Formats: sequence, structure tokens, C-alpha cells
Amino acid sequence: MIDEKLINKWVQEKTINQSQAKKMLADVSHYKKESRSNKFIVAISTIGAILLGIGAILFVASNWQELPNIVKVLILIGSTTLAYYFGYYFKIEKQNLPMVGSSLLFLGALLFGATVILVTQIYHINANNSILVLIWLVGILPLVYALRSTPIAGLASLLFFLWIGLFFAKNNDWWFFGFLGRFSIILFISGSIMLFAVGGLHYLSDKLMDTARTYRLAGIKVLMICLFLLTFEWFSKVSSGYISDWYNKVQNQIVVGVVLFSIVAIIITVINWFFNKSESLSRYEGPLSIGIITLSLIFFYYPSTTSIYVLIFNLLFAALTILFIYLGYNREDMGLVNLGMFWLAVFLVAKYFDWFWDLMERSIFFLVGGLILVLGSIALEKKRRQIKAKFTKRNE
Amino acid sequence: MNKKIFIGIGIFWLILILGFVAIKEFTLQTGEELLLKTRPVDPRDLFRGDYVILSYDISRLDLSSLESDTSEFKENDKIYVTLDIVDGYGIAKGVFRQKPIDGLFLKGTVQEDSTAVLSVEYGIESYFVPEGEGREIERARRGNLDVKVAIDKNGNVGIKNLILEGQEVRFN
Repeated sequence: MIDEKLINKWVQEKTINQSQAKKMLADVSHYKKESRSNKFIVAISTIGAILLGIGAILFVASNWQELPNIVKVLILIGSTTLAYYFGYYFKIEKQNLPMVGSSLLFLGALLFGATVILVTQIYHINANNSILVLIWLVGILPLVYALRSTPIAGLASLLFFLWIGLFFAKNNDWWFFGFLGRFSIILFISGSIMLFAVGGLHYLSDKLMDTARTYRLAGIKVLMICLFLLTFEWFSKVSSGYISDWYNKVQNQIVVGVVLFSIVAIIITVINWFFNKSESLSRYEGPLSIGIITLSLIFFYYPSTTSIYVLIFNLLFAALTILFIYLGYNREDMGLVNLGMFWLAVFLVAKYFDWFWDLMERSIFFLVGGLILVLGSIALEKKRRQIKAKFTKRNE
Repeated sequence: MNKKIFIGIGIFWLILILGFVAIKEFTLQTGEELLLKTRPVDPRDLFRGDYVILSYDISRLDLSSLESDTSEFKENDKIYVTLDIVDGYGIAKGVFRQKPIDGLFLKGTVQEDSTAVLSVEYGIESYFVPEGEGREIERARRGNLDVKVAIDKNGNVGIKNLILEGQEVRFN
């Protein structure tokens, strides 16, 4: 981005003269004003669109009994269609308000989901029905590719994981914290690696680079959450009473899901490894993805009452955070560096609590912990800024 | 995105939503109406937010007293429960893996492996109410709470209304 600092530097280097600098500064200032005004318009129009959508939904909800079913459905379809049409009109047909159009199209995608959910309420379909989320996901996927929209791709990624969660929460309120919860994490791991691999596949098309990155980031984020949970004994060490008959207790759906996602993830990862020459792919990700899936499957089928998996997942998680920082530094990808640093910080704080809570006297624990946090955050932030400055300098 | 794709996606959405509506409306408009008796549900779970959990007499089936084409059912098996209508209420008559050729029957899903008492879900275990209106229904679970449903010729079922002490439930 050209700014005043850069323009002054060019004047000092005699790359441009004073009158050229003055013209450029005026243009930059005008552009920034326009940009601020555009952002303001986008914000207001987006808020307006969201309010319209919420209004339609609340109107249906508040007049629940008075309105016949068909009228409720028509109001919902009507508001979805309006958001969708005007989004298309402003962004694609007239192209005069592309940002407003994008906001409206995203709202249309949200309203589509709200319509599906409200229709099931009208007809008293069972709650917690993961089919609804799947319908929502299937409905918006064509929009992801037709518009090459990052927000809608992000929504699709969110719905994918929500679908997984709902499907397996169906039969047990406390499923996540119950016996099966720890094995359901493996399902999310295989699902996240599959999404990551699918994202990598999208790099084969230049037009889908943003979609690729969205899917890959979503996959990495969920993967890191799952692996983080597995660094704790509660999740990765099984009591002896469970081992003997866990095959009987684990739901068939979880087994099918884990195996299916793992197979698809491995196939796509191998395709990316051998055939996808995109520079956005790292040579580490193929072996690493397959390695993590293999480890997860071994943990899934051969749980242990010892702390072996606790140790393995802690080492893996620490290695991954350092790898993200290293890769981010090499590729000058600040997003990856931030991701690595965030999880490194969270990991260190969590392990400090996990390992030292019972070992130290409380007052010493909090004093030492506080000191580490303050000094650690200063050091991390300094390092992060150094890296960012280096990237900026290289780009100049 | 060109206009054809835009229209195509719009039509796709309409098909998804209206298809859903059409299937349920077909069941409600053409299905045979009957009542199902509800049974008490774990009080901690009855009222969740703005919907009510419903359980029926036909949600738990004693296989020893019913006709059947098999003696063992596994979790997630799709089954058909044939019904007799007695005093307006649907009473379970038999449980089958194969779809019956005629008569009144409900499609259901087995919830756990069993050879004795079958736990079945029919897709009508939730009833959505306006927020805050569920208390009356919650209090009624110890009384006479029935559900009016419609069952079509394929065994699909849809809830029409709740009947509390012989009166249709309406909310303000």
C-alpha cells in the first residue's frame, strides 16, 4: 500500500519530484477517504440487510399461530430471494455497489439456512437434526464456487464441522464430555485434514485460491483445537474399565465417519502430493497429514491406559506450532506465524497450569505464572513484530 | 457468475425448501388422522428452550406381544410399525423390517440393539412452541396429553397438533 512514508522516501531518493509527490499524496488521501466512505456504506447496508432478514424471521416467529404454514414459508422464501436477487443485482448485474452486493449475497446464504430451520420448526421435525445443516451446506456450496466468495466458503466450512458435531450429538446430551467424546475428536481430526486436503486441491485452479486458503485455514484451526485437547490426559488416556468393551459402546456412525474421512483425506493428500504443483502447498504437508491421520487411527483402534498418547500428542502439538512459525517465516505469511504463535502461547500457559498446579504452593504458582505470562507475551510480541517488519522490508 | 447460474442456484434452493415442504404437506393433507398417547419423559429433559420433547406409548415396543418378521433388531434399523386404531388412538400391532403391503403403518428407526423391548424414533419427538409457552405442556405431562398426527400411505408421519385434556393446544 502506497502511503506518505513511502512517497517521502521516493522524494528523498529522487525517484519522483516534489510536484509528483504532491499529486500522489492528494490521490492517496482521496483514495483513503473514498475507501472509508465505502466501508461506511458497506457497514450500514450490511446492517440494514441483516435487520431486514431478522425482521422477516421474527415476524414469522411472533405470529406463529395466526399465520398459515404456507404464508410463513412464503415470507421466509421471499426474504431469502430478495436478499439473493439484490445481492446479484448490485454485485454482478449493475456492478455499481459490489460490496453491498456481496453482503446481501452472504445474507441470502444465511437466510437460506434460517428458512430451512424455520420450515422444520413449522412442521415439527426433530430438533438437533443434522440433516438440516447438511441441506444448508449443500444449498450454499454452489454459491461458493459461482461467486468465489471467501465469507460463504467460511460459512460452508463452519457448517461442515457443525454437521459432524450434530450428527454425533444426536443421541447423547453430554456426548462430548462422555466416554465417546474423546473418540469423536478423532472424527473431527480426520474431517479437518480432509477439508485441508480438499482446500489444497482447489489450488489447481487460479480462480479458487481464496477458497482454497479458507478451507485450509478452517481445517488447520479445527485440527489444532482437537490436538490441543488430546494433549490432556483426560482425553488421551483411557481408564482400564473402558478398554475391554469400548468396541461395543462406540457408535457405528463414528467408526464409519472416521474411516470414510480418513480414506478421502489420504487419497486427496496423495493426489496433491504427486500432481499438484502449486507453490502454495508445502512439501511437509503430505507426509504430516498422513502421519497425523495414521496416529489418530492407531489411537482410535488401540487406546491405552498408559500416558504414551499424552506424551505423543504433546510432542506433536509443540512440533506443529513451531512448524507453523517456521513455515510462516519462510513464506512471509504473517497469518501462519500468528497462528503458530497463538497456539504456542496457549500451549505453554495450559501446560504450566496442567503440570505445576499440584506441584507448587498457590501463591508461588500465580506469581511465577504471572511473571512468565507478562515477560513471555512481551517477548512473543517483539518477535512477531520483528518478523512482520522483516517481511515488509523484503517486500519493499 | 452469469444470469443462468444465478437463476440455477435460486431454483436449486427453491427445490430444496419446497421439496421439504411438499413432502410434509403431502403427509399432513393426505394422511390418515389419529391420536397417539404420550408417555412421561425424564423431567430434566422435557423442556429445552422452545421445543418440547415428546415420547409415545409406541416409542417403546414389547416385542413379545407384537407380530414381527424378525426376532432381533439392531441400532439404526429402519422398521415399520403397524397400527390398529382403537377409540381414535393408534395402538401398535406389529413390527416389521419389510414395508407392509397395506394397512396403517409408521416408519421408525431403532435406537438400540434389542430382542425384547424396542426403543423407536419416528421423527415426531419434538414439538416447537413459542418461547416461554411450554410450561403448560410441561405441567400437563402427568395428565392427558395426546398428539394428533397424520400418517400417509408410505408410513411418513407429521404432527398436526397437541391435545391437552381433550382440547387442542393453542398459544397466545
